[in-house]
Amino acid sequence: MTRRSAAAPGALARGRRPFRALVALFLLTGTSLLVSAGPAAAHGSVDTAGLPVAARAARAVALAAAVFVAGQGLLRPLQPAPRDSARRLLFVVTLLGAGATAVAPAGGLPVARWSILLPLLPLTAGAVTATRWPAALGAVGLLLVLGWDAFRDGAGAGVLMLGHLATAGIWLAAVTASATAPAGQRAAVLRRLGPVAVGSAVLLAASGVLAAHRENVTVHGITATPFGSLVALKVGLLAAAGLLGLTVRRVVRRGARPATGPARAELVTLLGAAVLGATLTGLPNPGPAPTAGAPLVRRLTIDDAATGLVVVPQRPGLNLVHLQTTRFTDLRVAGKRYAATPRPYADGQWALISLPPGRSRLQVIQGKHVAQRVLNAGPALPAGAPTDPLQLAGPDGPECLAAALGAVLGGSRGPLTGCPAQQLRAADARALTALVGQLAGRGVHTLGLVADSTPRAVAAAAAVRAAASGAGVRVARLAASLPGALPDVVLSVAGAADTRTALAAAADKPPRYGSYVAPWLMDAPLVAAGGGSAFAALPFDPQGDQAMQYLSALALVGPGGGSESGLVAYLAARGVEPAQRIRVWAATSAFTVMPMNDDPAHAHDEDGQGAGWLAGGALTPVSPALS
Amino acid sequence: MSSHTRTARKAVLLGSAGVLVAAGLLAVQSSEASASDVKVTTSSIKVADGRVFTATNHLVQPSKALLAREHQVVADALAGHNPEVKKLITANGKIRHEYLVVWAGDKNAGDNNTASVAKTNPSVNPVTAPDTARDNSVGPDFIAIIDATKGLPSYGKVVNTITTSPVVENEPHHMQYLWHKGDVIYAGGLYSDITYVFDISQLPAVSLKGVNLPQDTPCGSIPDAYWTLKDGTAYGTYMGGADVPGPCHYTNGEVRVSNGFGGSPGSIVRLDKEGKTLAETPAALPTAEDPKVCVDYPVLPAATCANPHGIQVREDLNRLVASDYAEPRNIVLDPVRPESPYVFRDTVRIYDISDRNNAKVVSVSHMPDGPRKERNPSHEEPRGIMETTVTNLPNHKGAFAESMCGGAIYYTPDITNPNPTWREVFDDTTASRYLQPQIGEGGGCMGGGWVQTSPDDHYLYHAVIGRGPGATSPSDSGGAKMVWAIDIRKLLASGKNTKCSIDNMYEVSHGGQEKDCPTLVDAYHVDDQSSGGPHWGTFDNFQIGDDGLYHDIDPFYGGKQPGNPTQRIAFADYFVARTNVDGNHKLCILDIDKNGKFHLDSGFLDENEGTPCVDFNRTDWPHGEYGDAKPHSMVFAVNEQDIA
Repeated sequence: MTRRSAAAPGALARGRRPFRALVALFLLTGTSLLVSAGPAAAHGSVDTAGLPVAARAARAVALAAAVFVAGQGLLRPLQPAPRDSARRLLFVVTLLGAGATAVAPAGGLPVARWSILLPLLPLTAGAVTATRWPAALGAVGLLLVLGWDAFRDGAGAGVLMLGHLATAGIWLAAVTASATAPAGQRAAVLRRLGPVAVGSAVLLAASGVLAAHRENVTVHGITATPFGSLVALKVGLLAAAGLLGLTVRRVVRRGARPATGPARAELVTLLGAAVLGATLTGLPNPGPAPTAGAPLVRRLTIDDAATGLVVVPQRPGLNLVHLQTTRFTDLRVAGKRYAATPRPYADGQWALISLPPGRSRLQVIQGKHVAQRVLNAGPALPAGAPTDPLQLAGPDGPECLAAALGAVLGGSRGPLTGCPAQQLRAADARALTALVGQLAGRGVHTLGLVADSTPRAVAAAAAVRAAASGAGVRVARLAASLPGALPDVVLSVAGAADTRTALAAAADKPPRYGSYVAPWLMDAPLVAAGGGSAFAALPFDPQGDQAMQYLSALALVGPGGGSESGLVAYLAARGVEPAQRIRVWAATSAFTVMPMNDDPAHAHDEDGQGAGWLAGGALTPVSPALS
Repeated sequence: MSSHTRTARKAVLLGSAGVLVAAGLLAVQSSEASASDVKVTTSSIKVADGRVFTATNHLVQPSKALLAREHQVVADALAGHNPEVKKLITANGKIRHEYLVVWAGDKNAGDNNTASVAKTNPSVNPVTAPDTARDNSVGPDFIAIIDATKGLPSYGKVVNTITTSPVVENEPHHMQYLWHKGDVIYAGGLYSDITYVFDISQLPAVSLKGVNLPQDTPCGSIPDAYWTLKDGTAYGTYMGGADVPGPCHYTNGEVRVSNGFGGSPGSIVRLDKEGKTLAETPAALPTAEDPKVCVDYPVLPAATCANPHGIQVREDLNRLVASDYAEPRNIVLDPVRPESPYVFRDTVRIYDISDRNNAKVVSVSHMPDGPRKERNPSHEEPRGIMETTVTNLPNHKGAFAESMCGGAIYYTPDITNPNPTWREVFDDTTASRYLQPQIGEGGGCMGGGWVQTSPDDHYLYHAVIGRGPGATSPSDSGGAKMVWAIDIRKLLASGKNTKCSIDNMYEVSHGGQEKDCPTLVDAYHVDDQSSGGPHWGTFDNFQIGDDGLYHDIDPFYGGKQPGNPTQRIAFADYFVARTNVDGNHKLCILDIDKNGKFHLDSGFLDENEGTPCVDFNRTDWPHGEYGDAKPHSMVFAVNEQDIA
């Protein structure tokens, strides 16, 4: 005799009617909406942090109900069809879940997923009341719909998510069977499903720990983000459910009381944990723990695209933020919202933000998509301490940030203590000296020097003058706008701002022997400032192995080109000395091919934007090694 | 469940597990076998600055299965079943192979264009993530040797790759147009400004013979193309300006002021067979050209359009023809204003090479504007004269030139004339309309590249990148990606009395109406959804003779007069990825029938995909798993022992 024959056929048929009605209703709605949604159905997941609470609640209820029904389906081959209160509970949860699913697109549930979920949920629930294996099949379908997004992060993440969902559902189903069983049958139910419940709880805990590890949920995230707080609450509820389960088991074993109250409390607690878990899927995770007071570098994935995030110096007070993206981005931290903006001749988006001491939460907002990372600025500054001691708000801020980024990529975890503009490197001094000698050998008699007041520029100017004096080249200090008669050649040892002005002026009024820049200025934005061409004597090889390793590390964060300051910091962090051979290099931003577009505003859209020192262009050595 | 069923299920499970384990072991063994089936040899050269350049062969050893198939083919041929293949077999059973030598670059993250760069997040698509990571990493550039012997089982297989070191990201560009017995291969790196010289006499093995560094050609940069002379030396066009800005002293004692690397003016370089610079002479006139039409950024004291790109030579006439394409470095002085259309040159220069080490400019001709009135002035007919080709027979003295942006073909009947007259004789629109009757915008910005006369001077072949739909405007339906052929016999027969001229709109789309105008023979449409299309090609200048040896059909290299017809051409679908004009990276062969019609060689199959054309987008190469590669140029070649 099969279990199915235990129920009267007429009663079963009557019991299935409400589910059939639900299935028909939602199947019709889902199909029509899927058809009307068209290509929009292909959309991926959406962060829900910026959505109304009601919408997020609907999404959480829909997903939690789906887990509940899936669990019932998975467990159905091991138990008879639900009866009485179990059936009523299943109906209510299904109704709630399907109703929430119907409004779930407002909660950010992708249309395609929602359109499948809408009929599949009551269909599976209906199958649970009738048959075994179709119910299990429907449950597997539900789990795949729920966990599909996780596969985007790899097969391991997908399997982990499926396992977590399945064990949660099975535990819920086992507890439901216990809580809804007639008092006299609870002991039998516990004997049959107790091991299943315990096993799924253990597996749920294990998969939860692994998932939390993947999501970087550590102490810092728990204290600083809603995601972490919800994880902590979920863990608490699961632990409480486990304790209640043990209590029920012990009481029933003694045979003294039916333990209906604790069993129902266990079910409610577990349902609460399921809703919390569903809520978590719509929140941005906190990311890995920051190193207090040291520059922070992260690669974010927002709406399927990489956005590099660099926060320097990550100390209390003024901080410079670089976002390696071209998207409009806002930042929110410590209750204030900042708009990131492009800087002239600098890649990506930039913002100056103020950080409080200790932990804070930085939200990166791109339209309705939100990512967040926990920051830790370390202890408060002493009273009267400057808020921007490294002058990151100044024109050389991006160069300093590039150096900090290079150091972090090289493995440094220390605080940022200085910027490249504060000191002239000996190798750079040698390169400038060698360049002056080479220019003198080519017949240059006058050299226009563009410098500023930074310690590095002052020292560099002195080095250039000393070399020029020995080579018979007359040096004239020039304003960045290059007024008056032009010298044979222009050399800039200033920072980014003055060099930008000088190169632009030199492109209009080219000196006979061209324009050169100091080694630290050979990066894509400044080459672009010169119209796309620049020359420099470099004391390193931007095509060598060291540079390739640096550029590869840089590419892990996001799109962007290399810089000498970044390379030197990267190598220093790895304890490696940069190669010292000095050559003159020609930099070219882009090459002319075919003017495809008729629209002048897009006339330069064809420029390549790939990775490398000069994205889309080339750096070519055009001299033998200089002594 | 009965115990019988359980036993059966266990047996199935155990059997399956056994099969899986065996399959795994076999896979491991197979991969080890394939790894050990590559023979690696390296040749090296130490250059003046102390660096050691190397070329490393990765010769694929034929598998037992392939050898067995070859033996069968040989047996069939010797039995008289395949007379064509029988010609390839020596008395001792050896097969004489013909090869395609292809100069290709490693594709890496630097080649991603604006649209694809945001999509390189490997977490987005786990299926393509390994490919993305592999393709984005930097690997060596290389020469690929592909078996091009029709009828053999190895046809279309990559039999060797020769990787270059230590410089990466050369952006491999052109070699010479044709290879002849005794020649070395000259292979240029567009961005590295290096010319590599390879000895291919022992094909499929290749060795490095020389390296010409940027400082060896101080007055020119961005090497483009080469033409070999009978003595094995070669002329090369260096399209960009001197390495550094300022006055530059050429080997003939002349001086020109340059605006630097990638700027203007370019130079003509003569290289010996070891890659040493024999001469570097100016492409620019000593006096200024018209500054209105010869725009240089930054401005030069003496304006010039001299940015030589395509190059061909008639040694018997002591003339070198080189077309000026563009000032290659893209200077953007004002990002809001479009750059001047005059950056794309409209000039062809003819040089007197009586003194081979002192090529002297004889004429600078501006190609005439045609009837089209383009919204974008850079699409006018004469913009961007990328390539040129000379006629081959001694009684012909003419030459052709083509415009990449303009989409037009020009012709002059006599390159010895110090004041040559150039006429537009064909518009790409005509060929495009043949394939695409509802073509919108015509030849403008069609991306014409390789142009080549057939050795018998009957046909002119041309590769056209084409335009993707929406390239010029949302309503642009695009232009065909194609390789076409026109019949030029009547044009050449008209001698110096050329009448053909494309001078009205009907002729733009239907071909010239004068009696001597070329007529379209065929156009082969290349199905390609990439941003690029077919840019370069070459014809097979070797044919097997009754003596079992290969014979060069080039009239200047022993080919009979008036010359054999070409039987096939190869073309590559790639331009320069970093300019956002990429390609599908396929190398195809078109057979040409006796009527001059094209037929895709469906036997030239990719060894991995089994589809026509050799795909350079693949996971692994004989030199390792470096992923996609970019084939730019190619020549047909044969081991010198097998050439008459």
